[in-house]
Amino acid sequence: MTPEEIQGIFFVECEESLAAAEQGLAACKAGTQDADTINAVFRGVHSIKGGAGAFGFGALQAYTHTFETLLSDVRENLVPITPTLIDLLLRALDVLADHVTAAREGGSPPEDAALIAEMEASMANAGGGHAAPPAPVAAAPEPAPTASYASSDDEDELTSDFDLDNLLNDLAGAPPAEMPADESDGWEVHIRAHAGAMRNGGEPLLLLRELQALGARCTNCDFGAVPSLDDLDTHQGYLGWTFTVPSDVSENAVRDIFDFVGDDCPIAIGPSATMPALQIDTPMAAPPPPAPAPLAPVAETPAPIVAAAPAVTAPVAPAPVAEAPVAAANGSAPPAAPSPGQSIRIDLVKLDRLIDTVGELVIAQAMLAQRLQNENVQSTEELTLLESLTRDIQESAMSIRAQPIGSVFSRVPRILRELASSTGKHVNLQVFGETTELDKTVIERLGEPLTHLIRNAVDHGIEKPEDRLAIGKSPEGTLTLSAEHRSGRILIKISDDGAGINRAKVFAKAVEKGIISPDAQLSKEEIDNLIFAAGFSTAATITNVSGRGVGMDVVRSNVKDLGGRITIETEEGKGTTFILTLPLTLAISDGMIVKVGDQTLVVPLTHVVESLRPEPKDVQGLGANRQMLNVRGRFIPVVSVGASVGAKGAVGNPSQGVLIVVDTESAGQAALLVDNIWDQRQFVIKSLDTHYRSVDGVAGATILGDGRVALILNVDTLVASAVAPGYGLEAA
Amino acid sequence: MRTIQLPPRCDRAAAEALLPEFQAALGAGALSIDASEAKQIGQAMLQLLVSARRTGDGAHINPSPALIEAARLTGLEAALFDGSVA
Repeated sequence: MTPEEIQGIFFVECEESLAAAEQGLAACKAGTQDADTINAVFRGVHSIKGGAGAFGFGALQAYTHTFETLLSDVRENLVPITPTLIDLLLRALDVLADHVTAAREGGSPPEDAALIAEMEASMANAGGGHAAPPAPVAAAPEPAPTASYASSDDEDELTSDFDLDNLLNDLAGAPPAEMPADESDGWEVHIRAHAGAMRNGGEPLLLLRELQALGARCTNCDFGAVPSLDDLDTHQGYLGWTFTVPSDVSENAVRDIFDFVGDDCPIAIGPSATMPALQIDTPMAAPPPPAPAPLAPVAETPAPIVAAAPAVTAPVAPAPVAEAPVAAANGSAPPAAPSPGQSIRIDLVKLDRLIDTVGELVIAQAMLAQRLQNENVQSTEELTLLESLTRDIQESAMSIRAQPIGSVFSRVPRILRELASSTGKHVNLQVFGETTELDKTVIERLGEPLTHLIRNAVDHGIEKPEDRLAIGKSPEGTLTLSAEHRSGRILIKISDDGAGINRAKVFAKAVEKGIISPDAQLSKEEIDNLIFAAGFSTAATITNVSGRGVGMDVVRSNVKDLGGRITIETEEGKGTTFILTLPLTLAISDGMIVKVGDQTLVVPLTHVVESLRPEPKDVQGLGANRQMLNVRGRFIPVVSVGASVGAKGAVGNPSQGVLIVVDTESAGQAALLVDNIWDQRQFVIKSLDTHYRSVDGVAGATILGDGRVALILNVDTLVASAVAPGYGLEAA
Repeated sequence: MRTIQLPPRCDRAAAEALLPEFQAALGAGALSIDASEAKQIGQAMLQLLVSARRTGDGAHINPSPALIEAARLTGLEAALFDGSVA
């Protein structure tokens, strides 16, 4: 692996660390200020610092050092957690993100002197000390901890802890420690802190402190293993403790404390349990002997894969080899081995190749089915099996690419902070369904439209604090983001509790901009949709946040490019909701295969409302050559697909063909005239751009079961170009 | 008698930085460790102090309240202090 590749991994991990820290701080802000949360933030910043040093990003390292020191003080309760502090930490995190970006793109580091001074001031005010020696820089990838500690089989299990304690004290040459408490007074836990517990900024004493907070007290410290100064290695853990825990504290409460460190800090519970054995890490430690460990089940939910270029295998902790010290008498279970995080990083190119091959498999399967059908071999059991297996493989392959949408949502708090400082509008964020998964490509391309929508919601939707107070709303606005799966699509809602869309103002503005004529008769939805028109902006003054009129039409085209749709629900005075409907994946879609003259085309099912064979009376002429279809009293334009794509021999009379009623973004509903509908099935989308060039009215191509290529219609552009541009074609 | 001053933050990094100093001071009689400024103490520093106490002629530690508290937490009072503070 080249240094560049390792550096690539570092930046991917930076993103993960930043996201984790952001999440932790958000939790702090929401009121969860426990040790775990603070620790998560600390770990995130700490790991960035380690890598920054290893790769020689001096500015990044220097900045993270101050940041980490402050977090460390917070962790140790030297600096109290106040709203001001959380605000400072959030701002510090934003600058850290900028630092990481600068390091990755080779740009100049952001201005951080003021913030560093502020962080140092907050430490000084709280009386927190500053480390004299700078923390050593950790080597980029930490070696995998050699999990599990040695067997303690050789210890006599019948030895009571009382005797053992004395034995250990004799060995240590120390005066006997406080006598172990009476049995009725509580129960005992034996703790050993290995080297791993002190790595990555870990501190076993913090765990002991938590134990102490539960009312436990140390009855013995096994320090017999601490060597003389000549042999001391500051990276090793030599100490072991016995704590007496009050009887009203549950075993789980204690296990919870140490769960997080796992094998780095093994514990044994029970009066007759023995101290976990000492384990000295050596760099050349022999691998643990193979054990008949059961095969680890593959995690059912795929771990989110955020792979950059290089492929590496994440350290997978070996299965515990030695039995944990068995608590003999009271039958309490030995410490459960923590399940190792089973995930690997995969090169994205490899993954794309897999998806591609699966696509080919789907096509091949369809071709085989077609061939067998031609040979009059139909519905064989084997074919059905193959079909269901193919679908399973395809779904698994797609799920590998799936990522929780939380990775996009996690950027929102920062956007809101920036908006709060530039607009003075403080907005509460509520997020629902952040674990909803969708394809990585969709996620990547979702960021930009989402950012626009959020800026728009805060800038135009949510009123100024004084205006909100005047109409009896709380001065802080609320922005709600939610994501959910609905019938094979994903629904993302961005709601604000602001003023809603002022339709009269929108209408007037659209007239002023020449987008519509003053006498146009528009429905409410059509007026709402005007805000997506190019060059439309109602902001009284152009702000640097939004208001240049480039936002919303870009949003709509971005969403359309993703095969999605955007709709608006608004109520004046109550707020606005933008609803994005997106496909789960861009690689495979459902569609209707239609015949138009000599062409076979695919109409994506997402656009299809219904299909019908019209009676002659249902279709009426309009003007010279336009036809309208009467669908239950509503007239929608008929678009002849044959004429649009130039197919030879296509049906021209709607009553002789089939009409497919489709929903479009820009031109409302329309009826596509085709010769007949052939089939409805899943198809693999092949991009025309990469193989040929982009063609208006065509979204891509696919290979049919008989091996022929069929073009996938881009229903939106096809209908928009066929019906006259403008609104109001739909008439009641 | 040589006195080694401990920094306010006695984490692993501090222990690592001070270990050579401790080692260099060996053989010159008992060490004197001034820990009166120590505010945060980690396991690595405790181990270093225990090791110093058990090496050669031992060491006398002038503890800060934080160090005394950490020693009490970890059951190392007897091992670290001469009895006057424990």
